[in-house]
Amino acid sequence: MEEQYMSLITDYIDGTLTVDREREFRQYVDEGHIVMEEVEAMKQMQGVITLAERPEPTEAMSEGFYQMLAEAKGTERPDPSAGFLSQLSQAFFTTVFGRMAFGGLLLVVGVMAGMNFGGGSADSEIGMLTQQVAEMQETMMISMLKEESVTERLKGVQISNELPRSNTKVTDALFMTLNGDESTNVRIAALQVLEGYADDPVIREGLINSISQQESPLMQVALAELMVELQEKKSIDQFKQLLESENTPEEVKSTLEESIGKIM
Amino acid sequence: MLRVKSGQLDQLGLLFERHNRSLYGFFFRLTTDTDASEDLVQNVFLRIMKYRHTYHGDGKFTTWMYHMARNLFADYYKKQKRMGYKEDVETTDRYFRDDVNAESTRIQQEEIDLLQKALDRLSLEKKEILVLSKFQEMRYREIADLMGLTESAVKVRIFRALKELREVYEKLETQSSIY
Repeated sequence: MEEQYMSLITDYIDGTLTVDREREFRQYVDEGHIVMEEVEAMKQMQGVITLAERPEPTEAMSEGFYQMLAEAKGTERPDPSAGFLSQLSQAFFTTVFGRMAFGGLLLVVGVMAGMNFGGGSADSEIGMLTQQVAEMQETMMISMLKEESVTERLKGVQISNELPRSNTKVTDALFMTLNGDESTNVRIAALQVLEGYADDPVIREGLINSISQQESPLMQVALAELMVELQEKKSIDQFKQLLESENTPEEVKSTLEESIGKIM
Repeated sequence: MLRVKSGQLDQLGLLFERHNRSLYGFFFRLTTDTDASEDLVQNVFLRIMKYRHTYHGDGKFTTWMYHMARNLFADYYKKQKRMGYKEDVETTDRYFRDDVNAESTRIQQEEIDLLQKALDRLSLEKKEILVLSKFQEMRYREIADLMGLTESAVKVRIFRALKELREVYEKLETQSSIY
């Protein structure tokens, strides 16, 4: 059989023949170059394939991967100073919000320089400027946390790290991410930032309440480790809820039990 | 510009979540070995991590990923051959030993196992193109990019592979109905 027929038959079986190619196909069938019986038998074969179940990997594969990832992260921590600069340049130049914020920043710097040279009160101007920059970063961060791309959301979390501590707008947004983001990676990043504010009783309360909202074993274990570090007794009830839940994997349960022991 | 390495590593977790099952399916159909397939998936991600700086976003990520997957499978296959691994008989026949299942699921299971058995009788080239196109549902354009072929050449190969699969499957079906 010639190759032009084969390619036509493949398209016929997939149901992707264009009108022109369909005409061509019919013509070859009429002329006896293509045998419909054979084509139908192949189509049936394709049907059997479509019904085949997808083989599923075991849990061990995921565990192995995340272990490998954690090890790699441990060995590839970026240099903090380079990290800050590159984070800043990434935040400013890789997104629309970033570029907008950078434009705004330039404008504010320009205005400030003008006022300074004009003999205005420099201290209050700088204070205002700092506030404006912080507000801009805040808006940028909150918008980034709502982005569809996980990378953008991760960047949003990273920016929040640079913002003033006592800002409830920022911490509220981070809690929304911690409890609601679909990516475990983003949630873990939010947790890492919020950990830094754990001295604040409101934040601490929020972290404790977050325990029972986490379904990912990674998050459950990360929160357990944090609570041990903080020696937070109020978290025990939340962990007990996880222990009683059928959805919590056995390995996580044993880690949680261990953590509870360390807190008590 | 320096890249935030840890940021990229976080992204790897997302890629893993998105593609691990599909990659596992690819390897499992080719090897019918759970452990080997899981190791191979792990190795693909290890390579992605190691060579992530070489991916510049040109071309589809999945094509790049399957390129690595194919290379790793080729290494694995060579190693298995050197070790004198006997193809199909042992691994595929074990699917027929299961008589614990209820009748209906057994028949369905047999049909699928027959399919895997038939697939294992094909040459590696035919098996791979069928796995990519029909099981992994990869587009012909992507397969063409992956294998360095034209799209119509891919269609021709798929025709040949599907035709042979049909013949082998029919033969196996007759055999299993006799026994």
